[in-house]
Amino acid sequence: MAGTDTGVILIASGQVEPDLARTVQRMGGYRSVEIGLLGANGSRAQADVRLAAARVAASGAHRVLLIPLLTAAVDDRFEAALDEAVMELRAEHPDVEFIPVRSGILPDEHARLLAAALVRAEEGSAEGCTVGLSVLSAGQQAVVQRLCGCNEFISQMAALGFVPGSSVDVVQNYGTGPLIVSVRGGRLALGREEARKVRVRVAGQPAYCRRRFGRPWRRVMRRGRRHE
Amino acid sequence: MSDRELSIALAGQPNVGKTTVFNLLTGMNQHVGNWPGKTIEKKEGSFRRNDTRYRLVDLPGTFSLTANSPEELIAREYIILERPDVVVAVIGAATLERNLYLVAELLPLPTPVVIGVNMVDVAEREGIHIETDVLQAAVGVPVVPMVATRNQGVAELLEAVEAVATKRFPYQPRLPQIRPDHLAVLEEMHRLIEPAVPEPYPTRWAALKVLEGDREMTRLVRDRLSPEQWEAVHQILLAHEDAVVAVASGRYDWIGRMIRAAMVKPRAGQVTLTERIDRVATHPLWGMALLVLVLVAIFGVTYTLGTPLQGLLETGVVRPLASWLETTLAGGPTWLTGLLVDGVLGGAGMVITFFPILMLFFASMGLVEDVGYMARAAYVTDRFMHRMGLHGRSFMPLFLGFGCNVPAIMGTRIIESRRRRLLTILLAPLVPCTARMVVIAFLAPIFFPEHATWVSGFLIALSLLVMFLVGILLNRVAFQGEHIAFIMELPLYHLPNWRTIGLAVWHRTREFVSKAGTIILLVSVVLWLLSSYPGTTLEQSFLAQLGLWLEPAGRLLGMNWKLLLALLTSFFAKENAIATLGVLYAPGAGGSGLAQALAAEVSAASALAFMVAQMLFVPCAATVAVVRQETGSWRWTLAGVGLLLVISLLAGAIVYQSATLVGWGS
Repeated sequence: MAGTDTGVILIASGQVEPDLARTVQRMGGYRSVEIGLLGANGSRAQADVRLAAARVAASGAHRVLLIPLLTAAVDDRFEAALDEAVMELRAEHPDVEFIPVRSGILPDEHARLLAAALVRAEEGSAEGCTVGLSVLSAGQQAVVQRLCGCNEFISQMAALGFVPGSSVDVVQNYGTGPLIVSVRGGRLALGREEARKVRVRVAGQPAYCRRRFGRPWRRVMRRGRRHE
Repeated sequence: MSDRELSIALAGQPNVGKTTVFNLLTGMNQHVGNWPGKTIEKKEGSFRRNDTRYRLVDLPGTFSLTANSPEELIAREYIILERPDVVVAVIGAATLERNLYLVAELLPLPTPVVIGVNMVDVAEREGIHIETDVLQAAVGVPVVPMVATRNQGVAELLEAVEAVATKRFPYQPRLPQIRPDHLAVLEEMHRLIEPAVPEPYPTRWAALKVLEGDREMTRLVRDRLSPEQWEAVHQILLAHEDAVVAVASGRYDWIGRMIRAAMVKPRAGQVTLTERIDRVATHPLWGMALLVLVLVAIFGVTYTLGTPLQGLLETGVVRPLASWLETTLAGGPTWLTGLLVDGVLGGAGMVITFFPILMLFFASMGLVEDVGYMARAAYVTDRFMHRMGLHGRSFMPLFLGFGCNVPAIMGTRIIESRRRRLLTILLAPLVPCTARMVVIAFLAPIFFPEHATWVSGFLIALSLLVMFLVGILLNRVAFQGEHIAFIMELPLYHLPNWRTIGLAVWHRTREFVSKAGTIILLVSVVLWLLSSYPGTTLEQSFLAQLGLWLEPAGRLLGMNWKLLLALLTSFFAKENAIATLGVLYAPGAGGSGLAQALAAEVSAASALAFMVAQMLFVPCAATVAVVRQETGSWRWTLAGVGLLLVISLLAGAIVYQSATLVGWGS
């Protein structure tokens, strides 16, 4: 688990959704998360990473993870620039540990994932392309695919109408606290954890699979779909 | 003319108005007890119609008949083992689809089923129309539309029960089937376990339950199979873990076929009344504000109406009775007068004067519950209840505690998880009940004439804060922050039914009288004995000796032996604190004399420490008895009592010491 003495710098090479840093921080429980621009366009971008590092260090983080965003063009030049930046930062903040992290998704792999998702969407394959009910926002409708959890939970939920093929309406979801959903003519309050275990496919939307992406990405997708 | 007897079991999912139907049929002629060996309410009643005597048993409200909870087990064991003549399944018209799931579970059992579609009016308001004739033709069992709150359809329901019992109705139910892809598995399972299913369980039904992962049925079958046979069953279960979903799917497919022609749903996009209210009532912010408003209203009504009534009872009934007793017994021995007037009437009078406040509180609670708001209160409070390791469902019983802790602890029965229930039971005594409020309302103006409201508010807030902290702590330590599933139905709003509310008030008041009332009466007699003997003055009595013996311990809290004794006697009943103070400080002087004596003799620091300790002190004897009854464990009961004892004395000591520091000591 992430300690609270850990900070994160998201290394970007272009436009970044402004909420991203805050979401990653909340999800991972980091002390602070900043965005640092790094790219081919020379010293101005380098300075941005140094500013980000200064902010993270000032927040009291003793360990800083640097991770390139999925949208960053990760190539040899980018990696070299990142290594150089890390050396500089170590010299600048001797008592802070800087650790570069690979997101584990290389550019061609990224492309392959996108392609696969598109293929699945066009084929309308259900398996593996489900999301938890908890990520849906109010007013969205979905179809139950399967239930996760222990037998007792599944049995209880199935009795309430959460069986494959049932249509579920999300009545209320404020992003925290329990949801209100409507299934099989009944209105239910459902804890977030329970809602997460109900795997659904959103009606009327391509079934591209969010599950195969890295965790932060998935969380970001959720954030964007949040009600209010 | 010989009477026929018909036994009916009333089954239904929660929130379908099953209780209303039960009350309507049996009236006051009902008996409330527990199911054998369980702390689950069993309601039985009987009534007579034409030449037939009906015995009615209200089964616990359950969503299904799979033994995931004791309620579900009780319901199906009763139907299978006790064999009632007819099962009446009450379903809500507005939630027909989900409610029919229980019917799908009931039909394969040997007892014939009659379906009562209740709350047709509520459904119509939400734009849902049910063709009961079509449903009856589809299911093949009698279906009767009802509005139980307005006594509509009940006669027709009984007519249908008669028709089924006398075989006048061609009873041919169409049964749900397992999803086709699991049919072969079910056949295989049936073949394997058939010889091992004990009488009188239907074998095919048992095979279905084993396939569903039903623990009770699996255990029964396993005990009767050889290890090799069981291994074969076990292999099937392992290979078909999703069978539970297939069975449930089969039932919902059946439901889909049943209602296709029988139900007209509201047009898409139509905003129903419930949705409109819920936009406010379940909003994280407005919902909370509404809840506060509702609570303020409940307390407002209870105390503004209840307090004058209480005074009226005191001056109009209790006092005249006491003086009448005194004059009547004037010639008799003094001990008899003392026993009857101070002992018996003192206790009984106290119980009587609590009636108006308690009944008003229970009535306003009942109203809020009956219209369907309580589930919303549970929903919005879930966020902070979570921090205590509880969920919204615990809110209702805890809130009931403001009236009396006894029904509050009985009310925890609605919480399914045993751990959550235990935690709620341990926390419930920290909710200041009417009796404690009365003590505070009496003492605060005496000790702090200028700031009485603030002091009272502080004490209530402190009590709730302590509850919150203890909850967080217990959850971390004793329950290790285990995750709690939160699944709760939000029923549709509907107009209140005065009969249901009245009966709820009656049941809760009776709990108070039978549990708290008798103990209060008993204790006030014992207390009177202890304070009157031996010797002639109070200083020589047993009570005084006990107090003096404890005095060194009380010094830390700034309490002399009189205050300590008042605290101790509050264990028997919270309001005893006032009575004891009255006896000790101003014997025979009455209320105003006591006020002067207290104000003169007790320092502000001691007074505050006393009130804090009194507020948090161990629950009253009646509550302890109910805690024991509901937890079924002396260990938990004593742990709870010990915990509160430590907390209250600690809090009292802290308050006294800090108040002394700021100079309130003299």
